[in-house]
Amino acid sequence: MAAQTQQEQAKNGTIAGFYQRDPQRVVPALSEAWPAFAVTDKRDPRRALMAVRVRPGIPPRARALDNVDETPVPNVLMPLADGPGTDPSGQPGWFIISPAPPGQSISLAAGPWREQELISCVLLPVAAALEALRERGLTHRAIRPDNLFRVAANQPVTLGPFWQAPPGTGQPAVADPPFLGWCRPVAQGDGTIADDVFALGVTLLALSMGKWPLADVPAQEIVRRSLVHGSYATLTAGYAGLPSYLGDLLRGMLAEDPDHRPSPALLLDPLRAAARRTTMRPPRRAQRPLEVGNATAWTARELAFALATQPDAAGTLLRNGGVDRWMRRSLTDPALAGKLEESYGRLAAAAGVAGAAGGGVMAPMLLMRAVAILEPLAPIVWRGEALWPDGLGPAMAVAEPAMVATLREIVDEDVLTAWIGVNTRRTDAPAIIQLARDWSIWLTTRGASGGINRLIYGLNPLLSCASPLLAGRPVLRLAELLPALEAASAKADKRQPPVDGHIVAFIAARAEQGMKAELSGLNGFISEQERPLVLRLFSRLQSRQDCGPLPGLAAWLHESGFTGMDRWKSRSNRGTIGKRIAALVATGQLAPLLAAVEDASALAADAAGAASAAARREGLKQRLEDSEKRAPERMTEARRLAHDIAAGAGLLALMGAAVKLAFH
Amino acid sequence: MASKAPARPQVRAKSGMGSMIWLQGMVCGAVLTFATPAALVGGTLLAPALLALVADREPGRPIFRAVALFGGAVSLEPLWHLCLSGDSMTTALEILSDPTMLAFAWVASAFGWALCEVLPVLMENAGKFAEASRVAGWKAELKRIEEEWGE
Repeated sequence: MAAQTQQEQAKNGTIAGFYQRDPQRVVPALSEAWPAFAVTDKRDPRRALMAVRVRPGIPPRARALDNVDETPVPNVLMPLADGPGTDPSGQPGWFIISPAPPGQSISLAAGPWREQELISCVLLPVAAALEALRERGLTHRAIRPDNLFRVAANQPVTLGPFWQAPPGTGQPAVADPPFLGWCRPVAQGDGTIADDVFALGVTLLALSMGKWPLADVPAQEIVRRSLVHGSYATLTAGYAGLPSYLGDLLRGMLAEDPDHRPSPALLLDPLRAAARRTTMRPPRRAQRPLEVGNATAWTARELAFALATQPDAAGTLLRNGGVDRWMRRSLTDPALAGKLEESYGRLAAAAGVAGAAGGGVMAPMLLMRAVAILEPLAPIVWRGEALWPDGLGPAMAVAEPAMVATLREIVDEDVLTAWIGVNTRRTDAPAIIQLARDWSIWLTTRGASGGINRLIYGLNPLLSCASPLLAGRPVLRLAELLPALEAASAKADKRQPPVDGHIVAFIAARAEQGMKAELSGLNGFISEQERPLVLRLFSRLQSRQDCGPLPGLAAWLHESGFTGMDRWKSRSNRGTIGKRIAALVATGQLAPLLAAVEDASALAADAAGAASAAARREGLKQRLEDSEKRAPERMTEARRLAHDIAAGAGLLALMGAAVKLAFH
Repeated sequence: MASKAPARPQVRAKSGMGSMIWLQGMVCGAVLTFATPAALVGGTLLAPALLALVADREPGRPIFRAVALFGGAVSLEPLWHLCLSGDSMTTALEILSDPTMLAFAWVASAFGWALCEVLPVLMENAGKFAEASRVAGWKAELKRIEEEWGE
């Protein structure tokens, strides 16, 4: 009932049951990409809240939205609820409710900030917020000046929304550490709280400078410079006005290695954080550089980045042993060269093509392994696309079909397992291998409940269902699916099935265990075997999700043939069951409808009656045919009998005459 | 070679039929010679039967049988009377001169013929009627089945 109420409430402008549009209040602008409007909580109208619209096809962050609790997190706008609704212009959409920003966002144009203000108003409140998020297992990944809000000058800032889109969305490239910035924002994954510390460091630097550092430099060049010179040196290059205390803090916060950055808890004590020193061994530098395409590498880290960004040249260098020679002779790191050679040998042996990395997936697999061996902090690199494992889902959700095919290969070819096999930094190999197995199962499951759609919905727990049958209604959660279909049924072409591949994949990805039997049999939705499965699936969903009556959907199922009326052979049975089903359709309860449709004993009796009638019909047709064929024979017989009767009568007359004579 | 084998029984059958005709001719000749009055009375009274014998070409000659039996039933008494009177020509002529007797014998023969003509027609129609009613029942049942269970 709750879900349907949400749909009904959405029509009235209410979101998630309790939140009503408030036209009297204006919400400080978030950004052009994320329009928000003011709402009030019916239970507590004094709270200043806002609703942020989720953009279609861009999944919000499930981990944040699925762990909503009322305990406030200091200095962060945490989500309170989400659900369907309509915006002030009447457009339907999915909205996330959160406290409204306390004031306007920080503007870099206001000029450089003083060090003391940066520490007290930005560093300390944001570090406290990050520590609270870390305790909840969350990252923010949207720390930048225009997403920091404050009531007035000299007041602590509040972190703005971070849950309405994949992590890193809207972040400038400079705010990401190089091993995240290496990937497109959508493929970066959740990252770690250390990545938020990096973004906080960049934000402090930008506020101190009064502008973004490297504002005009392309993202890939920022990453390259950071890998070559280090992030701190790259970002502060040419900035002489950096206070020494803040510089000491930033030196740690902008470390390339996440393990070298101070934790948020440590940042709450800035003096200690600034005094902290981590010793980093400088990377081994080659005597001569290696040219990879138009890139030049002096270190293994630089080589990894050059190989990843120049895949064609990298393939040639890896195959002709150029990389191996350079590492042994110029870099003088035979151990690393040995690892690379061993990986190459294993790969070639596994492919049965000893000594040659041919076409297909051999070359990208070799490149991926080479990058992971050369730079353990690097993301997965596949055919020039860099991504972290948890970034695969959002990357697939927003990708074009060609890119989806490339990303699909990562699952098809078990790239994740190969990557974790050569990565020496990650300690979560069993979890990653299990993830890879799950993804492979989703992808290889036969029928509509498997395949690429299942993979994408499985990887993005809050990606809206893309079925055209929903007619644009946003459905992010399973509980909203049937109410949305019910709403769509009013204008739907009821001759078409109310189910398609997207809906089945969506249910398969969102439903808990226990629906495998129904889901595994679904493919084209038109066979006689599949139709009762669809009804059973929807019936189970209705009872599990407590969706309330669904008369429109029930009628849609009935009219498109999913009640299996054609299975009843007897006309009178069809009439009787048809009346019963029509009555059940009107109630909108799918379970009794399913029971009526799947009445096994009645169906068996009907089938037995049909078989018996068929046998009787054949018998009667045979008799009619025989009757027609035997007409002349019957005439002859009748004539012969008539003549015999005549002869018999004559004989009786003769005997009578003889007897009369004998007794005369 | 194969065509000569069935020719022999045909020849035998023809020769057997010829013997029968010869034997019948002998009997007729004997009756005409030794019982001329009886032959005269019998031949006259049973003339329709003799006619049917010639005309009836149906297997088993059913019309001849009926005509002969009915005609025989009426002719039995005059022939018996002729025998008792010593098989005289006078008695034979007396019998034949009685038009009632002649008409009665011939009407009986005609009745036998009519029975053979009418009874088959009646029987055929009765059979047709019975069959038609059975067929109508079957068709009605077939229609009911097809209405209920489809083609």
